[in-house]
Amino acid sequence: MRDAVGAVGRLVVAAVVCGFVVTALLPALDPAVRTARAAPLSAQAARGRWVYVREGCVVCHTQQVRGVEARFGVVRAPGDVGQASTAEQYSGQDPVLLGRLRLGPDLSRVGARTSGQELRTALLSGTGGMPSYRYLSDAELADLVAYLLALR
Amino acid sequence: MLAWMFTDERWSSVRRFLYAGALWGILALAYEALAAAQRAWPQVLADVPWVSHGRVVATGQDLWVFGFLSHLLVGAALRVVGQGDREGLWSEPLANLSLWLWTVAQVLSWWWISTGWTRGRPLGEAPWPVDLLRLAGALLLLWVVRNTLVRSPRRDPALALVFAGFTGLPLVLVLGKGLFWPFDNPYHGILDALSQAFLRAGLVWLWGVPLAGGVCLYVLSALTGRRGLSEGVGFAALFGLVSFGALAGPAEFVWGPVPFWVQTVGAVAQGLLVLPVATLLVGAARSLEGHWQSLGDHPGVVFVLAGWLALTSGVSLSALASLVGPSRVVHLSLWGEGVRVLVLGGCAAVAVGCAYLLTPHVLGRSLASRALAWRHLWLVVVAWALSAPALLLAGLSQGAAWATGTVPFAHAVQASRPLLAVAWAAALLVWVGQAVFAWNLFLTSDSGEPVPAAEQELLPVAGS
Repeated sequence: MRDAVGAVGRLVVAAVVCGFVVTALLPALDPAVRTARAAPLSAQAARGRWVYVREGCVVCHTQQVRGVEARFGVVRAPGDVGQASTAEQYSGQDPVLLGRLRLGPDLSRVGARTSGQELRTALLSGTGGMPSYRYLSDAELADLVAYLLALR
Repeated sequence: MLAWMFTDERWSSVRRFLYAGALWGILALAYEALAAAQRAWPQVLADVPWVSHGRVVATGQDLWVFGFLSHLLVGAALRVVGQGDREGLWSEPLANLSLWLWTVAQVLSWWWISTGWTRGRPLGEAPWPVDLLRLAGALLLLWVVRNTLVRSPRRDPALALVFAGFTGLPLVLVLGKGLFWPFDNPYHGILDALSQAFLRAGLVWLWGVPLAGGVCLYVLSALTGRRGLSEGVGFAALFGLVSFGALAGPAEFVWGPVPFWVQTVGAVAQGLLVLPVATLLVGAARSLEGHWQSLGDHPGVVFVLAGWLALTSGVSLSALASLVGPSRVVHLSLWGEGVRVLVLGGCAAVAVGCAYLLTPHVLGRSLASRALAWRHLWLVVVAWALSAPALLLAGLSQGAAWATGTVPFAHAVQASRPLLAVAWAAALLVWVGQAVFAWNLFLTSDSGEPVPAAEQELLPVAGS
């Protein structure tokens, strides 16, 4: 088995490293992606982003509008999810919050279609199938709303 | 105390990994059931921060993959690796050390994610101290397995699959989570999104499935005396699994914000993964040729086959969803959850089946109650029959509603609530089954019928 162990070990290392280079590094080397600079968040919105991460909002909400739904996607009115997302829009984000499942609407441009008061009410009362977040402090709630309003 | 923790008693680490897997499984599946309840009824425990839905899902996924599945698979894998030359593992104390490192990591991870310290990456939520503990444990296991296998005189594709899994995990952790720079995330922007996808695909295709495949092929062939796959086909399946698995991550971004060529690479690799998985299923079935009566004899065999069937259907549905047409509808919908139930659930069923089959070879006692094991099996099968169709259907209805462009989002979610309630009932059944499994293991270690020493060995199989 000694020769097989060596060969399998080399195969796995080569496959994993090649897989990572091809599927993660190379796409990120695109000049448009590398040179893009997203508008920085305010200090309050940046704090709100960490509330978003901490509470696991990414479990139910995406922040990616796919090309196929850009025109007809709907949260309230047809087409209100906006244009298709591009790789450059995520420049500098850590972590990226694309999401994998939509039990709640896509939030890529939630700040452009919803007011701060509406967001605050939704977070406190848990409307539309979302749990309420009454346990957040006033400051945390304000930070989170500021972050959501910055998503445009 | 230290002597007990790091004992060199034969198979002590195997026993502990299996027990740990069974116990973490009870917790992981309780979280899964709670998350399913919160999907169907969003206000369940919504006012308690550490069990709010986002944290429950994150904690539950971490417990599921690293606590439940990984511990069970490692326990079974160490047992078959150590059988190669009949001398046991190269170092039981080091294998035990890795168990304790992983146990500390799992407790910390459970605590920290529940209290809100997370890296915010689905299936990669754990903070960096947990990652480093897990990486240290994974490297120790790799070292133990490597040094055990090089003593073995025979080349066996099943053991090679197991070794591939142990080699894959540390690499996936280091590259997928950026552990070469652990204190601060080295990835930003779209590179972070793609490395997250690499991590998720890697944990399944470079860790869980190779281990499950290797253990199941070895155990079935040792029990029936017939090897299901020839050496060439076995190594070809290994090559396919590792190569396509490493490229499959971007399949989750079809129509998404990454270059089209990388979406294509991911979708093609995801489709090709059907080949090695189906090959392993055929290998498991061929091991049983002439021994089909053993299906009725032992629930462990049925568990293993049912797990492979679920895994094969899951990877096929996943490949279907990566195609350009179907992905318009089902991507980002509950369809993905249905596929996850089949793929990860299938992997876990293979691990549980192997644990049942290995009981006399690990604990030195016959399984205390086959009747309980059969009940566990039926609970899981009924749960799959309920949850997978419910979630797949919910995903289809969600996607169809979005595609019309006229149905408001909230209405589409509301329409899937009855199906989500069905999925919750299924999650509850799986949790009950897991409790039955853990109880059966406890009964076996406490009062199972002792097995003669000669029958505790797993005999290697010479040819196909």
